[in-house]
Amino acid sequence: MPDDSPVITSDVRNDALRLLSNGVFVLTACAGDRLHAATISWVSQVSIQPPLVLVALRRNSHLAQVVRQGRRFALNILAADQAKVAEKFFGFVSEPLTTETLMGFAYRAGPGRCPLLTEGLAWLECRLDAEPQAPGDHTLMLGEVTGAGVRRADAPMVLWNTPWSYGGVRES
Amino acid sequence: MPDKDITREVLRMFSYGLYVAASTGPEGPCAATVSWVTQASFDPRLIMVALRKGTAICETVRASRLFALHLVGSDQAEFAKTLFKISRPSPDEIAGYHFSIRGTGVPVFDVALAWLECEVVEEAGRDGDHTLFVATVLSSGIQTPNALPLALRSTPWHYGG
Repeated sequence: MPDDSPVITSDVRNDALRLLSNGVFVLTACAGDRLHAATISWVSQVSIQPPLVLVALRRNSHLAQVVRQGRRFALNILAADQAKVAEKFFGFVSEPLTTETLMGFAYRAGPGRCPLLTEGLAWLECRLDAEPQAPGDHTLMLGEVTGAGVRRADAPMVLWNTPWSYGGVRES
Repeated sequence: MPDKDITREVLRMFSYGLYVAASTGPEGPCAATVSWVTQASFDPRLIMVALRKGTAICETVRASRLFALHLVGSDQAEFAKTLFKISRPSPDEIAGYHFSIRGTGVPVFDVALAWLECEVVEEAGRDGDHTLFVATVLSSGIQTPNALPLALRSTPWHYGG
């Protein structure tokens, strides 16, 4: 299982940290003439005015590198019944710009060139605003929202309602 | 600039829990319901909590560097709702919710289904209207085993967007 994706675990309730509620997102980026994508969960809004979101990405991951390089990222919100989509992006996905799909899923280029999955419920595109200093094995990236779209208003996927967990203490 | 209404709608599709943050300042204990929380590191165990700048809880955490984050259970919407509003604390309860003070001075509510006692290690968020507190988890407890946390989505409330 790659570093930035949820791990399957049988007992998610033995640790208070695992009781934190998170959504499930496919983060996408465009950098170095390639498209990149991976499923993530540590995401929160952190400001209303201006609208800022935080994503926590494993510090030395490819994903963190391509966001830094491209200075932009998109968050694709998955629907409650799209576990199969999330699963496809548990590994770091990187494809040439000419690719017609990402892991078989159609996309359209966003205004900031990030690929937006047409299967997703909704998307946000962000400009990397800051990467504040913080200790830990994940780096915090703050994005200012530059674009948004809703495709359908179904229930989003919550990490709670999946067989996966990403949080608490890593079991490796 | 993105359309504000659409941005708000998408931001409100994010998933959050409901939490009660509590800290002790010069004027005594202070608590508030919050929802912008995520884990931020496995090793060390860090969480990020974003608190609106200028609020009592934000200023108290900035000063004390210590806080407790309580998990609100799926059947405890009233606990969260009560602490949306600022209320005057007494030495061992806020709005009728009893707490005990841990060795660090942090108040921990009896009713919470679980809690994390945290120490701030970094502050961020200069560009926004909330301060981001990155905090290490000093200790934690589950007071109600097998309880489900309350999801913001399953309440009539919104925060953010």
